[in-house]
Amino acid sequence: MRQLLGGLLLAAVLCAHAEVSVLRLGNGPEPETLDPQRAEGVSAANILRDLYEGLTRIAPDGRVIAGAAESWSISEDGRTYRFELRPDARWSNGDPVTAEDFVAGLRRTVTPATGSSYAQMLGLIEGAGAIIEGKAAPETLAVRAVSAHTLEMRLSAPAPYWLGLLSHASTYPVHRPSLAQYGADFARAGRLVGNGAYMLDDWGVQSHVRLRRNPNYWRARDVSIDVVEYFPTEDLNSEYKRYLAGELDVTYEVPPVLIPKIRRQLGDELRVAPYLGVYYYGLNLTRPPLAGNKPLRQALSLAIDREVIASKLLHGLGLPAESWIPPETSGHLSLGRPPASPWTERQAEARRLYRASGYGPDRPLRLEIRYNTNENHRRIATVIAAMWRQVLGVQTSLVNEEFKVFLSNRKLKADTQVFRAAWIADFDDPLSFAEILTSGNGQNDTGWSDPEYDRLIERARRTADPERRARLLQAAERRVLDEVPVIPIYFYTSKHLIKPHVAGWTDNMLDYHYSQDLRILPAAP
Amino acid sequence: MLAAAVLALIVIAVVVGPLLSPYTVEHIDFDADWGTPPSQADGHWFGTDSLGRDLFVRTLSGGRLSLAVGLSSTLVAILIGVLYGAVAGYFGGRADRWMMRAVDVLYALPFMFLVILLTVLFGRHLVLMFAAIGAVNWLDTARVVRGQTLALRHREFVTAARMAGVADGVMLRRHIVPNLLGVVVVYATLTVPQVILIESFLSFLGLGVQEPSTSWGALVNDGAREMEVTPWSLIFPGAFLALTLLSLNRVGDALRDALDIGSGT
Amino acid sequence: MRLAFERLLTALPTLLVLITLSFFLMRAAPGGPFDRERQLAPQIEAAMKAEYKLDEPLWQQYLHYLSGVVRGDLGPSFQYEGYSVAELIGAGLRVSLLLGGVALLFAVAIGVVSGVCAAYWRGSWIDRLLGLFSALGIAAPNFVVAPLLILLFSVGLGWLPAGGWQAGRWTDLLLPAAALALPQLAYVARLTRGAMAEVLSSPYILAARARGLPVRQVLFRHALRPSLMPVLSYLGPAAAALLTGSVVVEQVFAIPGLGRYFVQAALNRDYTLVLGVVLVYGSMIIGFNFVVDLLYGVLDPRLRRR
Repeated sequence: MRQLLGGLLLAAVLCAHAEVSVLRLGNGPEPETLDPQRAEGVSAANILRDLYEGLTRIAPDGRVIAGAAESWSISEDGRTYRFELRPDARWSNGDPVTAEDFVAGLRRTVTPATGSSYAQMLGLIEGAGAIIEGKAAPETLAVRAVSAHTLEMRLSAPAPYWLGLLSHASTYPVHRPSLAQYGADFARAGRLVGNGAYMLDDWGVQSHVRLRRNPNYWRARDVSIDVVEYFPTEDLNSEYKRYLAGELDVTYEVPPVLIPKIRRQLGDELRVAPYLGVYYYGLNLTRPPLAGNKPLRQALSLAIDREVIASKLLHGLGLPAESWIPPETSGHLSLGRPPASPWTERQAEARRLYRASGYGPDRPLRLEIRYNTNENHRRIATVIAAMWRQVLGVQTSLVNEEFKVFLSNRKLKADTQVFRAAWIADFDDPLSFAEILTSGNGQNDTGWSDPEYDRLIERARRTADPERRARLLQAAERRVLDEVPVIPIYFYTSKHLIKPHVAGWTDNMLDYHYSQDLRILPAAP
Repeated sequence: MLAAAVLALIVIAVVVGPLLSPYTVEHIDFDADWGTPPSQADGHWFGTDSLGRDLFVRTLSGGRLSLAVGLSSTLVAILIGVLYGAVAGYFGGRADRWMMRAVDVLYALPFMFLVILLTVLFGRHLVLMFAAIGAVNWLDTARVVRGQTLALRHREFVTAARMAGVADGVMLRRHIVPNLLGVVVVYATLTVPQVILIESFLSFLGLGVQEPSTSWGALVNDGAREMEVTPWSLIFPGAFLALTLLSLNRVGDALRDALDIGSGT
Repeated sequence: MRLAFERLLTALPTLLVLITLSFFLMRAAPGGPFDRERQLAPQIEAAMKAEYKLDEPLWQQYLHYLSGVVRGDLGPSFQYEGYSVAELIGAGLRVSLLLGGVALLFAVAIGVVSGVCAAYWRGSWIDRLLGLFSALGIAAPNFVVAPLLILLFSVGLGWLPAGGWQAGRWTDLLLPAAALALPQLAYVARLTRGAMAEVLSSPYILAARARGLPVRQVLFRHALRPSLMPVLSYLGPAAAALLTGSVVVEQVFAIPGLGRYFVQAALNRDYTLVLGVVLVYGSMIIGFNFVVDLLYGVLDPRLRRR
């Protein structure tokens, strides 16, 4: 009896003290892996930001700040970076974080056998190209540990976005002993050793990923939340209902169709902010009818009323895209919105161009829009088909394919005419958007190959002066809008529902939010 | 009887209805509000969906498609099932044993998963969908028909015909299959609702019909997602779907009782 | 009894057919496990293919896979790096079996009881009410029922979780199991009612009641067993329906079960995981049919002699 009483007392004391604060986040699709060098999707990146720390990290307001490196210097020509690592940085098992760990991580990303989707993003580091192609050993990468806490890397061209890019998962350090012990299978609960603010406590596939605060993190004392739980939420509506039922503090997304109701009932809990991504339709320029018919492509672009799509279909969760690069991109000289010509004039202009392109009521164009199976893609394609039909008289049909089939058709360029596509920037710079339309770029499924455009991008890549570089990229964007290899439809927004008791959340362009920057407010009395 | 009447009404509505409305399945009014409630004034008798399309026309023409898928897949299933079952039952013996063992093997395949695989991998042509769904559903019919044929085989008129030297093919065509008509009709009415449900299940997975065409399954799916803001987008197609499924089941049961056919095992 | 074992014998060829069919279907499909929105450099893709032995001739891969299965090795998952298929299926199967088991229990227990009630009070308001209920169960697809249940019990009343799956939280189970069970429940109720009504009007029951045996005894001792036969024969199809239904329910309730794995894996071209799940499903259906056959023999002595 006494024991029982004691137990009860102990439990009561524990309950009173162990006010464990827990953050529960909806996290979209199940992450494919938590191996930073192999992970690809946004949902894995979200978790990895808590588990690891790059040389730099992103502050809540979007600025690049010091991460595992406490300071750095950049050479005159903008190509050599020297980082001083924090001497007190520790892995979650207590080992010191050294420059060699970062070297190992970068080498691992560019090694073909790793299978990283981001190898080419690091292609700017000297020697990376040859390693990716399998022609050189990973040790030839121009990144080296000068001392235990000094790291030096050399780029083949200056890049204003490089510091920001070093907050990306593909540049995270590797805990070499675990890699040696478990090989590529180290990224599991009980094995994973990270250098971030949290460590991996438990991972139930398709169920949850639970993180616990890492006592060895260098600023562990400033970390407020004890436990962070990420839940896979593939189905938008289910996620929304779990949020309503109080099972999630932050959602991954918000279902657009329910926005009117959400705005009415949840008000400030809905957070929508510009995000570095563009949703667009690619046009296959390797075969008729779109190849060699510029007026037709221009007519198709003009006939889309982006305001209607942004406001009525997306209910403000997308911003009308009249240009290729989101205007909010850092250092971008946006072309701005074109002079606001009234919709009726635009329609008339579209019809004129359509006739000029050789089509008309007696000879209507037949066009196929191809998209992968998805609620949002289906709704957008339906509306755009109706616009083309009702404004121009184009006989548009929709072809909906399962994702992998769609991807391979898009790449083959044999059957596609108009296809759905999207691009989310890897780093906050106009080049991230501009470079995917160059000839032969792996992402350029339009087959567009324009020497003038390629030259502009190449020159921008080599230009260190920010002003001149921005002008070159602006000229490149103008070229895209004139030639219409792609039809931008809307710019992405980040959209979340956030419970009022989550403090410290600031919207930023990359939609990066580190759990260490958040706090859970005590429940209101 | 009520069920049959309801069914007839639904069929008439589905065939005639879309012609009565000034709207089409695909037209969108970009200046008007979208997702408006049912109204007499603007001619959107069932309201509009979240893309501003007329729900009355979409519900009824969706019904055309659902019923068409239901009927044609059932036809495929019944055709295969009757042929297979009649042959197995009529010849009996070893042929029967092997044919039924093959059916057992097929029963053990997770067919719904193969249908998902097929539609996922090879696109969603309507024909493929009919065939796939039909291929799933013929097994029940084959079993029942076999049982009935076995019973028929020993009836006097069949024995008499055989003594008169009627060839097997002719026997099957003239004497066996016509006598199976009752079973077949019952099974057909019970298979159609199943097929309609399978189609709606495929729509849930995004593997249904291609926009702007629609089906009850696709509409109910959209409706279920949007019911909190536009309940009418679930209620109207949902009511049609439910009424049809119920009526078909009722009619099937009534026929079964009237023709005195067992539950078929 | 013998019939049951004969059927069991066909299990092996059935599974072989199943594996072969699924294997080549998967491989005939366009796209591969390493096709992504962000394209891999050709050398990197080649390295990945070599790592998973996808560069071998197809027949060789097929034989590889078969010999693996024989040894009980289902291979690594393509989609979840660092996890083996056996491990993933083990986790998913536990969840799916629990969910399916509870749903089946709901369906049979509630279905039989309400069927018996409806048959006993045939024509009364109870019968009508239950009839309406089971009609709804048959006519409402579970992707409609599930969100309605969530809206009512989770968002509205706040009694039960709206989704998710945490070990040991049994409340996670109730709504999904209910949504999954409803159509089958309705069917079982209808079958029981029909069979029961027939038995109740048969001479021997009438005789038993005429002799003044208590109602409960007549119902449960004499009438129930024969009325269960059609229910029993429906269990096979019901179990199969629960499996497919679970795809919908697992998605709506975010439950980490096999159905969700299957759909995800098929979409991601996770070849080994798809084959693994299909294999498990096939074995489950075979096993279930076997059990039903056995039960049949127990319940119906006439069959036992065959």
